[in-house]
Amino acid sequence: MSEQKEQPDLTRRDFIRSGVRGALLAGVGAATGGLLARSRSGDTVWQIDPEKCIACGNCATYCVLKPSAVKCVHAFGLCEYCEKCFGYFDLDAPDVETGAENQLCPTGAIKRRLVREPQYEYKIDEQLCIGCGKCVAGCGQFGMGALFLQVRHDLCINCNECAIAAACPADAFRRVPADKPYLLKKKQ
Amino acid sequence: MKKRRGISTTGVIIAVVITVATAAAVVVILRFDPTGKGGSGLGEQFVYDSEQYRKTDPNLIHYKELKPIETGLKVARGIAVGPDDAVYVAGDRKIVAFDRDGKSIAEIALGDPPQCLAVEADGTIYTGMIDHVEVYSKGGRRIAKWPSVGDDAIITSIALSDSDVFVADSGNSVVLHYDKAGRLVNRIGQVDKERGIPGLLVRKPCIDVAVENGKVLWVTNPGRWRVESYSFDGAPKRHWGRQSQEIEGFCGCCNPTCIAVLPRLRQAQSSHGWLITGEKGLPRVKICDETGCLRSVVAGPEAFAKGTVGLDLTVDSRGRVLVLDPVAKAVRVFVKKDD
Ligand code: SF4
Ligand code: SF4
Ligand code: SF4
Repeated sequence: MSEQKEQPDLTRRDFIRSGVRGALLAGVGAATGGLLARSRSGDTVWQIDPEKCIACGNCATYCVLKPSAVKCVHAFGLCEYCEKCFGYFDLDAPDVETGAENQLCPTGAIKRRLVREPQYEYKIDEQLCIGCGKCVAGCGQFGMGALFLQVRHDLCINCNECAIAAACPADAFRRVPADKPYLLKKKQ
Repeated sequence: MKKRRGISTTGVIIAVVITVATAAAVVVILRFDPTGKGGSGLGEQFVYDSEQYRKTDPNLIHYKELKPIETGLKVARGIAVGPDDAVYVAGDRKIVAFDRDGKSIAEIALGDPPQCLAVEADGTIYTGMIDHVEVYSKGGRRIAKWPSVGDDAIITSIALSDSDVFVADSGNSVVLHYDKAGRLVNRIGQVDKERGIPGLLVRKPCIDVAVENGKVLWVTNPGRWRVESYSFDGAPKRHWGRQSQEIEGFCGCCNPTCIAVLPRLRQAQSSHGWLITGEKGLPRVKICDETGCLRSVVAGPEAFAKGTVGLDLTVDSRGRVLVLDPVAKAVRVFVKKDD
């Protein structure tokens, strides 16, 4: 009798909770402000639907910008601050310890900080993140799915034809209103 | 002459535009990768590969699968076995029942979506809604509706003994122990340092409960990757389990998500309960003995769709392991290979 609440049609209370939680998204607040200043009513921008994204890696390599305008973001509201985070630790990590050999992110972009035993906070260093999605896959498969990819609109130049969208195998890219440029992940 | 030069320049521009457009189209077509298998061009170190854990050593799998029972439900949530090994499944806004051969025998319409259920030997059904329990007669008449457990309640499992009803409330990380009339007897599994109870740690609502021999309550503690047993007065007895992606452990951030007690006919010399456990992340069903030692794999991750979440399971008097697969919306039936 497990996880019945994860199924969408029932979760009135969960849904309310997740809506609040989903809003607690790290990293996109400032970018949203910048975009709002630029955008006109009716403008649209590219964004990734996190429910469709399969973290294939194309976001890191197909963007016309180097590094990519796609970055990992972290919905703190969905995160359980796990001691063993499957977005942070390599699947085969021998220890729950922050040595580089145990870390999953190839660029060392995720920072781990003790909040209160046994809870740890994980933050993305966007200067280092290339949007490869490896941590998204780990957190999605074995964790809470709190890490996901978003096009950062303080970086994206809003190409008419987004090169990643054309290459996305999951049809996860779509145009969204410029004044609501992020697609927040909800607890399912 | 001037006119001819003009035509020529326009022609060149058109030719260039067509060439560029064609080249761009070719590039787009060549780069389009509808399956995602073409690769991103990133190095090995950027690839998240969990496939090694999705294959099970065939020598560990001692069960084979029989024909599944199609539930006909859109959302299948909980499973239980009733008298004569009838199989009851809760989902949508109803309970559906099948005889031991999978033939439909009953359907009970409910007012709310059920989350879980348990069935008495006489066919009385206890079903957990999100925040309360409802009791139905064998014929499908509602006998009782117990009061709401509270606003934060997320009822995920029910287990029965002769005179007790155990209700797992994942929203409040506790097992509520009632008598059959719905009177609360005590709360089990809450933090109690003096008794050495660390508390049920729930990241996703998946506490499951099962009763062994009418005397011992087993509870999943998924955030601690273990199962715990209690006497009915709430005194802790034993626990086992550890986090590991390997088949011997419980994988991911929170597992196991469901349990059932294997009937004694399947236990070699053991006087204690062997448990059947189900996991998510790597969906797998396995049997461990009273010390937590892996004895058998019923079904490995390769038996389920990738990403399957929300398995539930039970076992009938003949030792058939019945796994409710919410993706297939079917009861998957597993029997010992040598049966
Ligand atoms: S290309 Fe599509 S599927 Fe791949 S990581 Fe980007 S959004 Fe996700
Ligand atoms: S694993 Fe990839 S997507 Fe995740 S933080 Fe590191 S670089 Fe960014
Ligand atoms: S629109 Fe252009 S800059 Fe923005 S993500 Fe797509 S390819 Fe990159």
